[in-house]
Amino acid sequence: MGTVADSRVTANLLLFADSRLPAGGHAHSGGVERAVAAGAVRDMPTLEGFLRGRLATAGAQSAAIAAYACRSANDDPAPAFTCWHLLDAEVSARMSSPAQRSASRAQGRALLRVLVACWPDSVPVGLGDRPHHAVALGVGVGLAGGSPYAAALVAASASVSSPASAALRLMGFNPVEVTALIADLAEDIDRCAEAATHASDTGGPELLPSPTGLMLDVLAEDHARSEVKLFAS
Amino acid sequence: MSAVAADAGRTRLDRLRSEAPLVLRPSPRGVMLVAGAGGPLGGDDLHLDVDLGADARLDVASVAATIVQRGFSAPGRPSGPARFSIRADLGEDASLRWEPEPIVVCSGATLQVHTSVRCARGAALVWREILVLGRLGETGGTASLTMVVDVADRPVLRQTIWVGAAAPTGWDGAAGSGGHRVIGSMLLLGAAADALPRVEPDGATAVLTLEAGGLLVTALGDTSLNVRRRLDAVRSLRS
Repeated sequence: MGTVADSRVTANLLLFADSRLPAGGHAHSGGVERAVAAGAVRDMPTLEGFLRGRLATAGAQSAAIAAYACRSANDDPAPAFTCWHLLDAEVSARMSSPAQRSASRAQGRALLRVLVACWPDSVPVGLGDRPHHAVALGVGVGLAGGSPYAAALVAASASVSSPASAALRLMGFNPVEVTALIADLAEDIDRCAEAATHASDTGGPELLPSPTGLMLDVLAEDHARSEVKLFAS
Repeated sequence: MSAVAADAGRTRLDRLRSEAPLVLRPSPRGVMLVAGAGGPLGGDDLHLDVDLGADARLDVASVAATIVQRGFSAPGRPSGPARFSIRADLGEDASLRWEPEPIVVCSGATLQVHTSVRCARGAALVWREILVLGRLGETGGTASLTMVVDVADRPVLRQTIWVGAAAPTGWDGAAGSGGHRVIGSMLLLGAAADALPRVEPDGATAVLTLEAGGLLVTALGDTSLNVRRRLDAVRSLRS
């Protein structure tokens, strides 16, 4: 596997790695709130297990989708309407949980609003108004001049940093320790993004990988039905 | 194997060919998958085609659990993974129930299952899989299960479950199997999935409505009996 990491990082690209990006990411815990409520995430080792599992499944999947969407957004000529619809259907088929699909589309929609404000003439109309988050993210990174690898990296990194910060708020973990945990995962995140970039270089979206985190599905559905909660997912 | 609709709503098996270690036997309950030799073992590469013509109905089950063990290409040299790929094609209004006994992946063994199902409009499907990591008291091997399902050329399900000793770290954590050694899933499509069952949340079962139609039930547990009971509970609510 050759290296795909690129050194060119632009200020625009950093927008997508910033948790203050007004795309609603702070409202989602990626399943961690329910896992905390169920006692499955209760200390640093169980949080680490959760984050590693999430990176290898939901993270790897959204990284590959983001890289694919980024590549498509930069394609010349631009992909036809139907290509975005096909990608959307392939992403949905990889998200069995309705709660996860709705969280993905809610965040995708919020991110799309940001993209339209930043690049009013360049956002592909084929995305519709409720794209999946990883698709909107990949397109955004592409519009910001980033590579498919950059899109995969942002997606893979968010797949652990976002639940980690939710866990921080829910459990009152030491923020310095949680940051050290994410730093410890950094090499795995890089590897995940690199593998996802290669996996995304396929003939069509049907060949994208589909790693599934079984408990993520259970947690997402149980969370959607629970009445007392801080996060939307 | 292949089946076609015959007169009076009956179905005729018009092709049934197999060889050890996986033998197909017709029975009053449908077609039985029989482990005709030890195994599958590491290094085995099995393939099964199932073709159902329009309106044909077929049940596939097995008499006993499938035990996957490590194989050796030479004394002391473990062979590669055991591979099993299944391709099923369902014609219009055809109906397939795939409900074999659990697959047990023993310590040191690696199993890769790839299932691809294509359904025409109106087809009904029940596809149940139960994976057990290790015999009782064993840590178990590694398994990856991939499901690729399309209905009328539309993607319905793409799912890869990768668990066991050689799976990426975190596979057994709170995002993965949650520490459970038995993993069950049941996909219901078409008439098999026409009403949404109510299941009380138990922290280890999910009943998922797929965007393109159909239901996927996932159940995790510590015994195959318990997992099977929870999967079947969802189905019995529906019939």
